[in-house]
This record gives sequence, C-alpha cells and structure tokens, in this order.
Amino acid sequence: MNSRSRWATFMIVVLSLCLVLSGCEFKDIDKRFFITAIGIDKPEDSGKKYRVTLKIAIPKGQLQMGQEDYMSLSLDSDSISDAIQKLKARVDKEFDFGHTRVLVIGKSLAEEDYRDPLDWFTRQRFIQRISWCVIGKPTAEKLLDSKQKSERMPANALILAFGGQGVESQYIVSQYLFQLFRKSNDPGENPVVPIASPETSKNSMYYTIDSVGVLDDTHLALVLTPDETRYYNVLSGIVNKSDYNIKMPNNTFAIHADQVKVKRKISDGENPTITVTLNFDGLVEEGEHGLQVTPQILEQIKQAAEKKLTTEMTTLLNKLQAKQVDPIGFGSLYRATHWQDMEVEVKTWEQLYKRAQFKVNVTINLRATGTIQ
Amino acid sequence: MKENRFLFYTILINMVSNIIVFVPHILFNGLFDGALMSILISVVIGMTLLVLGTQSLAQFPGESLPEVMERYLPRWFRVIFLSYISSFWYVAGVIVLLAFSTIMTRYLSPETGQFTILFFLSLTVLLVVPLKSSRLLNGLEILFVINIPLIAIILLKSVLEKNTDWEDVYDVCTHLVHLPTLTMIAAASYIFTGYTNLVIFNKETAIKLKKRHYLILGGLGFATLMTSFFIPIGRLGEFSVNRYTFPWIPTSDSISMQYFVIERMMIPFLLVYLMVALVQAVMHWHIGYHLILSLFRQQRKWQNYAVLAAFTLGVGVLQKILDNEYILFEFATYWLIARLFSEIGLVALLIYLAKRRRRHEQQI
Repeated sequence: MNSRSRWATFMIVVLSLCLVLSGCEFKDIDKRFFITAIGIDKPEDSGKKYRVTLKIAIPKGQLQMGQEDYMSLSLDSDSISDAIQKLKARVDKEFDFGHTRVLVIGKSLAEEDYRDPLDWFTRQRFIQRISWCVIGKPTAEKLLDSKQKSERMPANALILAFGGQGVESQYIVSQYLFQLFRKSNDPGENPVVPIASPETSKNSMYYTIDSVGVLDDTHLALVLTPDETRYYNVLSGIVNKSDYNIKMPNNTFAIHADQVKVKRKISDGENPTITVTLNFDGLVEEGEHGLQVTPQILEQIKQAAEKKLTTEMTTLLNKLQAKQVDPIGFGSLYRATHWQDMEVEVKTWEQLYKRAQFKVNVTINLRATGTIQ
Repeated sequence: MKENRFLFYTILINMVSNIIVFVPHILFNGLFDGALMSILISVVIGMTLLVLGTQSLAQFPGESLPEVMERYLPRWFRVIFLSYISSFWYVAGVIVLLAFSTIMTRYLSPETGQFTILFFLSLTVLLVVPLKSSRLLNGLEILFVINIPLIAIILLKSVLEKNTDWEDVYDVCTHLVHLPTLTMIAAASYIFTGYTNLVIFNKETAIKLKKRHYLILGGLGFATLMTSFFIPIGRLGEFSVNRYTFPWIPTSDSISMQYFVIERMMIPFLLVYLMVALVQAVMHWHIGYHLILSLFRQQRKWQNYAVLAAFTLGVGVLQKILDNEYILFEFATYWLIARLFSEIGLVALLIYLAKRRRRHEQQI
C-alpha cells in the first residue's frame, strides 16, 4: 500500500467513526419551541418557592404584525430548573432558550429577594447575557400572558422597547443581564431595573415601562416615579435627550434638551459634598397663549428651568440617600478616585454616603425657540 | 524560506491564546492583591527572557536546540533536560485541549459529551502534528491571517461598546501599589513565552530581531495583557468577574452586534478561539514531538507512531485525572509557575551554549 492509499483508508475510518456520534443535539427547527421570555414570580397560595412562566413562540410561516401567536405556560415549583423540566412534560416539542431575550422577575418576588432568580439566569449557559431584565407588575405571569397588536413575534414589543433598538424614550431604563449581575455584586452601585406592566385601553393592549425599581443587595428597595426615572436616566448619563415642563408665573413652557454633559465629583473630608454638574443644550418646544418668545422671556425660561431641575434633582438624590441606595454609582466613583485597600474604601464610603451633602449645578443653554419665535 | 515573519506568528499566536489557559482567570482571582503590579513585572521578566533567549538562539542559525546540544553537551544531560522540557510542551497542549473541550461542552454542544469532543479535537491535532515544521508554519500563517482581523474586530467592538463600567477599570488601576505574587507573575509572563517554540522552529525561521522588533513585541504583549485583563473587568464588573468560570466567554456574550449576522458575539468568538486553540495545541505538540524524537539515537518510523500513541493515551488519562474544573484550573496554575522556572532554566542553557560557541570560535 502506498502512502496515499493508506491515508485514504485512514480518512475513511475516521469519517466512519463520525457515524457513531448520536445526533441528540441536532433537532430540526420544527421540533423545537423557542422561548422568547421567562418570568419568575412568587406564587400566591401554593406554598412553593417560585412560579415560572414561559412565553413560547409558535412559529408562523410569514411574519406579519399582529399575526404572531404564543403559548404561556406557568408552573409552581421549589426550583426554577425543576419547573422547566416539569413544563417540558406538558408540551410536544423541545424547549430552546437560544432566543430568550426578556427575563422578568415578578414584583412581589423582587420585593422579597431577587438574588436567586438572578443566580439562575446568570448560571445558565443558554441564557444570553444580553437579555433584558424587567420587573413585572403586577406579576411576571400577567406581563408575559399579554400580546401587543404590533408585535411581529412574541415578546417583541418588550425586546424593542429596551436599548433604543426600537423606541427611544427618556422614561425607559434598560438593563442587560450582565449589568444587573455586575451591579448586584458591586458595593458602590445599586442595580436599577425597569418596571413594566400590561395595560389596556379601549380595544388595544400596551406595556407601560415608565418607572424603575432600585434594588439593594437583596430586594426591591425603592420604586421611582416616571419623573424621577427620567432624572435618573439623565444623572447616570444614559439618556441625553429629555423634555421638561417649565412653570412660569403666567405661562407654562416645555423645553427639550438634546445634549447633556454630566460631571460628578466627591470632595474629601469627613462630611463630603457630592457635586453633580449638568450642562444642558436645548430649545423651547412648546409655548402657551400664543406668546412670542423674546430673548428676555428665553432668559426667564432658562432661569426657571435651571431652578426647577436643580431642586428636583437634589430632591431625588436626597431621597435615594435616605433609602441608602446608590443607583448612580457614587460609591464606584469614590473607589475609582481613592488609593486605599478595597475593603477600607468600601467601609469608609458606607459611612461617608450617609453624611454626604448634595450640590447640583444645572446650566441650561437654550439655543433656539423652534421654528417660530 | 528562512524568514523572520514566522517567528512573529509563533509569538503572537501564543499571546492571543492566553485566554484559553486561564491567564485572565488567575489574574482576576487576585484583582485587588497585586494583579496589575504582577502584570507590569511580568512584562519586564517576559521581555528579558525573550530578548536573551532569541539573541542566544540567533547564534545558531538553522539549527534546532537538540542539534546544538549534541555538539556541546554530554548525552545524559541532553536526555534528562530534553525529556523534562518536552513534557512542558506536551502538557501545554493537553491543557489547551482540555480547557477548550470544557468550553465547547459548556457553550457549543452540551449534549455531546466532553470525551467525544476531546477525542475529535485531539484527532485533528494528531493528524497535523507529524507534518514538516515548514508546512506547519505556512499553515499557521494562513490561520493567522484569517483569525487576527476577526480577533481585532472583537477586541475593538468590546472596547467601543456602551455599558462598559470604566469606573471599575479605574478602580482596579488605583490598586496598583501592592506586592505582586508569584502565581500571577507566572500567569502573566505566559504571554511572552511563544519564542520558546524556536527551539525547533529555529531550523525554519531566521532570527533577525532588532531593537524596534523587540519594542513592537513588548508593546503588543503589554497591550494583549491590558485588553484581556481590563475588558472583562469593565464589562462584567470588578466584583463579579472572578465569579465566572471562563470570564472571557461571558464577556464576549455581553457584546451585542445588532447589525451582524448573529447578534450574539459569543458564537463567532468561540469559533475563532476554536481555531486558535487547535493551532496552539498543534504547535505545542509539534515541539514536544520533535524534542522527544531527537532523544533516539537512530530515527525509525515506529518511534513516530509510538510518540503519537503516547500523546493520545496521555490526553485520555489526564482527562480522567483532571475531570473537575477546579482541579484543571489548579493544575494549569501550577503548570504556569513551573513553566516560568523551566523557561528561565532554558534561557540560561541557551546563554551558556551561545558562550561556548563564541569561545569555540575564538579557539579556531
């Protein structure tokens, strides 16, 4: 046998060895169910630890808005993995989590302890670290068992709402799974998770995602109002476009800020001052009573807006401080600018944050008044 | 055929492969206990060894280490030293294969079973190992040209990505002043160890390294360490990064590519690193294979098969021993430390040989 034919024989043997491989991993797409969202709740009456809800997409040949179909299955169990295994016994196709993009934690579970579901989400290899984390109100089950008319695929409306992929809103905070895990372990920054709730008006169903929950080390500590959510978005530098209503003695104006620069600084000493400097660039969006906006009025609007934003942001910061949560990450900033040991920094900041004073400087540069003066 | 560029490929592929052999993981375990200081020191140590090693080997153009040793050193020393040092290359290949088969079982095909994956990975490697060194280096060049742009895109994308916590990165920088540890120095200096492959590849490449080449290599090594250390910290967070078993896989999974074929970056990342791991395993085993073969007085065909069979058997045995991820990690850590000292010994030997040669020349 020459070397070439020996080589060929060898290759044939190797290739035929591949036939021994069992094909359990490969399963045709028509024998799979794609889970687009997972919801985890605290069950109301069964006494079990979790109520797991899966939103299962039912594949359609043609993608059309509003034509999608889904199944939503729920089950109570003491562990999430067990619940999923038991749910498997109720369906005919294999679950595939490769397209799971929304992870919902029920509000009542989050109020108790969010760490265990987060642990499960992070530990699973098949869940993408770029999935969106949401708190479901009133429950995750109700959030997932709903369908918006414009969806092309199940849970699409929720997926597109986050990260600015679809809609860009100043009230929506987006949180990736890896961010939530990162912040939940970080002593200097508390995670913030958007709260979504299904709502119906007339004949259409929609999701409201305009508030956030601030989580401390173990549970949901504080729920911010929509206005506070917007200020959080601006303060943490996530959103740079935002609108504000400015009340003047006789009129109300709306201004639109299209650029924000945020600077944060922590002074040294026993009672530190946290200075937050915000520079807005914006224009007047809306007037009242047909009033012409003259340079004098523009200046008045600017002053009123600066005063309003300064007070409201200081109030928000004080509120967060009183609840002992730090979603804006002043603790991270403190550690990043100090050279002590990590444990010392963490301990010192815990004490300092309680005594810190906030100073908010807002400068608004109103450049224009829109298409009319 | 004697070209400088192959030298660069072997060194660079070694730098890129640091993610697979737990280098970042070891550094993350000591994040606040001198990781950054260890990195800085390892750059000095690694570059010193690299300069000394390559400069000494450059005295013997076109000769491999066993051939040089044959001229100057007694046979008993040669046998002991070469069999000791070849075991390092073999184990390096095994660690790469075991680590990558673990990653593949975890993330790519969880239902296949690690042993099957390991078997096919080793089979692929074993088919390539006995090739001529020159062919191997040409193959390396092709894979290098394919992979390096992809790796560059992945790195660039992960640096530019939003939601990176730069404050965590700064915070780790503020923990610079701290005593380094041996483990972390050994781990970080792995980046610069690629030149040791020249003990065999010296036959095929020319070592024409000038000052600027060393500056480029040092800069690239430092940049590699910085990226593979800081990007996971920024993405996964300084307090969470050491909770992940293979920190770079979730790091690549945390990057979304909205306008790419697949949104999840992890899949292209794993495929690129599959190629890197295979190439790296082939390189290591190729060196180990040739070092062991050089021990025999007369070259016979059966020796080649015997060595390859022993390699295969060894993988199977080591897989059973290092079955647990913790044990594999610990084993890799000890291997990295032992590697640093053996590398120092190897460079010392090379310097000694170079001196002997110079003296020899003066006598003539």
